[in-house]
Amino acid sequence: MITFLVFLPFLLGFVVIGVYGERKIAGFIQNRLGPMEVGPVGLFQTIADLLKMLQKEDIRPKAIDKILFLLAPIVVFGSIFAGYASLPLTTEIEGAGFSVGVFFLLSIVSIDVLGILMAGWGSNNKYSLYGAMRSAAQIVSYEIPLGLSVLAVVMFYQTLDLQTISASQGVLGNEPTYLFGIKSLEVTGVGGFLSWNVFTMPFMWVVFIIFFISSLAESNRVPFDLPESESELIGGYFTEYSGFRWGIFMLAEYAMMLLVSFLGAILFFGGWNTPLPNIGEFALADWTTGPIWGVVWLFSKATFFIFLQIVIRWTYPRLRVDQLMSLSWKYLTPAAILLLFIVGIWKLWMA
Amino acid sequence: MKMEIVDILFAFFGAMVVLPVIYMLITRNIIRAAFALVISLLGIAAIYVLLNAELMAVVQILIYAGGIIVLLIFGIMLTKRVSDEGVVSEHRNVIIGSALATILLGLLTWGIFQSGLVWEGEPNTVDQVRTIGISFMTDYLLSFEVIAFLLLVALVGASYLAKRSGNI
Repeated sequence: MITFLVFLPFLLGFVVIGVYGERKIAGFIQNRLGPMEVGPVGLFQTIADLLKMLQKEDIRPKAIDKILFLLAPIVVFGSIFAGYASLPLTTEIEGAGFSVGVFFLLSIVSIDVLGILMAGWGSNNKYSLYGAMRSAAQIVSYEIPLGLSVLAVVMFYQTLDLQTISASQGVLGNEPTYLFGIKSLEVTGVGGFLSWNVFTMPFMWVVFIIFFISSLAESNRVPFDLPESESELIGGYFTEYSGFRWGIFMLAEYAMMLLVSFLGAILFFGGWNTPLPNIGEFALADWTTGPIWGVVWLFSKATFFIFLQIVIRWTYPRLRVDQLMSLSWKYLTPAAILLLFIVGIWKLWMA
Repeated sequence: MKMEIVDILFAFFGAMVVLPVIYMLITRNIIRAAFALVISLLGIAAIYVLLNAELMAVVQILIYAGGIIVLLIFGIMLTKRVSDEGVVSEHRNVIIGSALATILLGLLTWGIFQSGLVWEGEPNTVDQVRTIGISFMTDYLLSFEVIAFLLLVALVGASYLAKRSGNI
């Protein structure tokens, strides 16, 4: 229920603001103004675009495979949105109650490849099919470094439950925590950013970089947007879609960006934990930990990662197909396996 | 016999497993058959959840629906061009096939009723993953390692074949 009551409205609101933010940031990076006409400083531009999109005719080409064509957007968005079910929202409210937690999230999100393949095949269009096949190859390849980097965190905390992983990274955790794993720097009661995963285990920075690169590839963002590269494939697998159905594909892309940002924040940067530590008399961590604060911290961390993704999108050029594959298989996967080994040794040696 | 919500769900997911498979047998469109198989596999995953086997359900989704079917569809798409007149299969050996399937179904039903399997009740779901992991590394270590070795051999073989037939 939390998924529908909190994450769905937040996601829809986020897409409206996110698209506006993306265009403004793009404008800033390219030294122009971005949308300025509709409303004060262009604030209502996305809403106007949304209204225009909803009024568009729902075009269905004659030669399509009708069932696959119509079902594809639902499969893509449904599978990504199902991933939100296992996210813990705050100190009191955790995700759906199954013991497999983050493993469920990774598996259900991998279903969206099927939706993309359905769209590509159902469109009966050369460009759509190329886009779908590139996407399948890319997502299946990058699932491996993504899964291995998540596995490193799971191994470090010895649980698949995202709520327990979040709680271990702050003042509410049961285990003692040490800054950079050094025994003399105990930060158990201090909390704040000092007890986040990346600060208690310095190698997690590298794991996080692998996680972040693979999550960019999973959500089909630049520099990994080969499945939908406009300059080569018109629009990739959703070339033939228009109006509301196209809108669902866009919504799914933003949902995926937000989901991996939430996951990154929970796994590496403390989830709903406050960044402010207890300093002597000023128990900032205790003051800023609670159900409401938890939501604020989690959402602001996720929004920060969205900002990073947008900046990367407008900074880097697109990779070639062979570069994409060699990055995943020759660099990220071996590095992730090595880090998994290091985290295992660390866990045995430092504990 | 009182119908409970679990029974209704079980019947629903059972239909979700069986009906797509029947569609697969009838249709001549291979791509649609592959997608029907996905629905069937997801139904099996849902039944695992109803039986409190969450880890099995997730593994089912990840390996079958997310992995094997994607490769299967990918294979079909790579072998046929879009301009072709769709990918179709033929119906062959209808009588022998259905006879064999009926015999197999009868044998399986008979075997299940003979085996005397009973519902053991609610398993402990708190630490399912830990329990399975520990038994993999202790009681079933030999079979675990043999399977791992087999998969490694298959991986090396696949990359060798791919390299020999490619132009790299």
